[in-house]
Amino acid sequence: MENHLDSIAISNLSIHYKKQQVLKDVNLRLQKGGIHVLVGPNGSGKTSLLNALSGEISYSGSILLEGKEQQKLSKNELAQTLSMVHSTNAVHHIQVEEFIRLARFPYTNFLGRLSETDKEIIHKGIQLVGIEELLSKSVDELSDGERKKVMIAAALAQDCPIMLMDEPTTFLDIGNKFLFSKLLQQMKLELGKTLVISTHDLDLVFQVADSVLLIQDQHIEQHSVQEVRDQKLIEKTFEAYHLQLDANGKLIL
Amino acid sequence: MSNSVNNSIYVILAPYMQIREKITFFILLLAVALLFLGSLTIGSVKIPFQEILSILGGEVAEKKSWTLIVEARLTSSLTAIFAGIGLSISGLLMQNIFQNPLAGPGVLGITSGSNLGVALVFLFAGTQSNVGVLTVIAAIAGALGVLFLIIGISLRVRNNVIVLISGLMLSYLCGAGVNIILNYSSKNQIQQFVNWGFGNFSSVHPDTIIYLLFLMLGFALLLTLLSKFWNALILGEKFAGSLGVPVFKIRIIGILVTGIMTGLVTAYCGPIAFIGIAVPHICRMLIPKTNHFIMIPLNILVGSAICLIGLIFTQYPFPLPLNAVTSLIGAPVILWILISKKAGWKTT
Repeated sequence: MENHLDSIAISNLSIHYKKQQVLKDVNLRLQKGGIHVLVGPNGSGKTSLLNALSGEISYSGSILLEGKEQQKLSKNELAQTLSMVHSTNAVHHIQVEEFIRLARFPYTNFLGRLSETDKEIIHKGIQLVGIEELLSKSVDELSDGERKKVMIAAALAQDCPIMLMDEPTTFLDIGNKFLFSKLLQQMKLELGKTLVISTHDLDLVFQVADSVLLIQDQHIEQHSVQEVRDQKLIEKTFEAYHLQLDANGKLIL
Repeated sequence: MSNSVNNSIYVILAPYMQIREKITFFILLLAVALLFLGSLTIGSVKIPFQEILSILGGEVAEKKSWTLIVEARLTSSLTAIFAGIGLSISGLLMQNIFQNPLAGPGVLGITSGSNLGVALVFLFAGTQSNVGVLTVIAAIAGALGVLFLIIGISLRVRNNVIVLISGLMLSYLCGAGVNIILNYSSKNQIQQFVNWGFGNFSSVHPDTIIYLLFLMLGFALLLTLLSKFWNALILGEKFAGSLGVPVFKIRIIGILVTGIMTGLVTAYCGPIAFIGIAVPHICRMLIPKTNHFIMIPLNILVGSAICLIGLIFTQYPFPLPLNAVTSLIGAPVILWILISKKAGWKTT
């Protein structure tokens, strides 16, 4: 049953990619203002699920975003409901501030002019992520950690209730990973965002997740972090019984 | 937060042009006006400047031949502006659509497509003293044909270097087609085609140029009004798509309009080298921004100025083919950009 506390409600979702079934009969309810972390082996369908949510690939079944059928939303409505934190490989020579400003596309008029509200929202995102000193730099001059922050600021400028992230901690050093976890908590608590994150980073799972979405054999099961830890579900999902995790979810070497 | 940060946010988020940018625009506008008057004045026949102004004002000149010369020069100058607008904006948009700083009508084989179309007309429809409708249609069809092939290749390989080399290959293919056609053409036809290939701003009929110029300005206005979309395309296909940008539709519009603009210029002025690729880079050096609301008008001014300079150098101090002049201006700019990596975009 759909619940007004659900930000995302997925029913009987099946996804095919290149004639092969990737996900089958997935049913999920993702609570508003929660951090939901997708975990599964390579090629299990994590990115496919995110792509289906963002409307990039076709699927059968139903996805409700903030109570509205995703396939019935216009491009602009979808862009105002859900933002994606992109990888930065495809981004070229452009000043950070101009880059973030462009993320207001779904809200600006035909001439793309920013209103005071637009500027305020952009400013808030920049402050939250803490990239004031990067604004005049070019995106292609930034380090991996800095780029990640800029992409998050751009997604925040898009001002959507739902944010998707595909393996966001890849290439981040320990310090930046810590800052990133803190930032996720801030986005959840201060801005009330619903975050769906696909990752292989177990630290992220055990530090920030409100629910863990385990993908295995075309199916997704939703668990609490406690259940994942107690029932050794990570080990089962990856069929890696030699893995040993301590009480905090840290890998024991 | 520090003052510099406040200033920085203000600078970029301010919707209006900065004073420095306004001054740049003003200087460029002045330069285009001076070059325009210069192109009317400079030539093998010396006409006093006062007389030129009188003729432009509709008064009778001291010598009747002066009126004819000034009218011919006026047509050439307006044609140079027409070509400058068409080629520079086409280059700017192609660099945006293909996300490739080295894209341009010449490099991607678009001009060669037009060449092939025009060569076919020269062979089958005979030579024409003025550019006919058939030549224009053939040039536009050739340009659009190659553009759609290139966009097909770029969607498939998504590698800028391969796309550029593919453009070069298509250019060779069109060149081979032209050579075969020339092989079966008469001496007169070959001579006509070779002359057209040197490029010139004096083939347009005086009655036609004003319509062509308005048409080109109309296209420029349309593309400026779509600046919001060109700006968003800079973010890359995926990001732009997730912001609700109709990426496919906007690309098709861009391709159609740039194809028509390039085809028109090529049909009337011949295959002019380097303007399309070099002018957008010169503009980025003048104002290092990505906002197309600023960049399209800037390209109009710089493209017009450079084509007017080209026109002047084809006549003074001694006659030179237009394409040699534009290559002498454009090629060093591109070389400098390649060596200094000013392009800033990745090659893959």
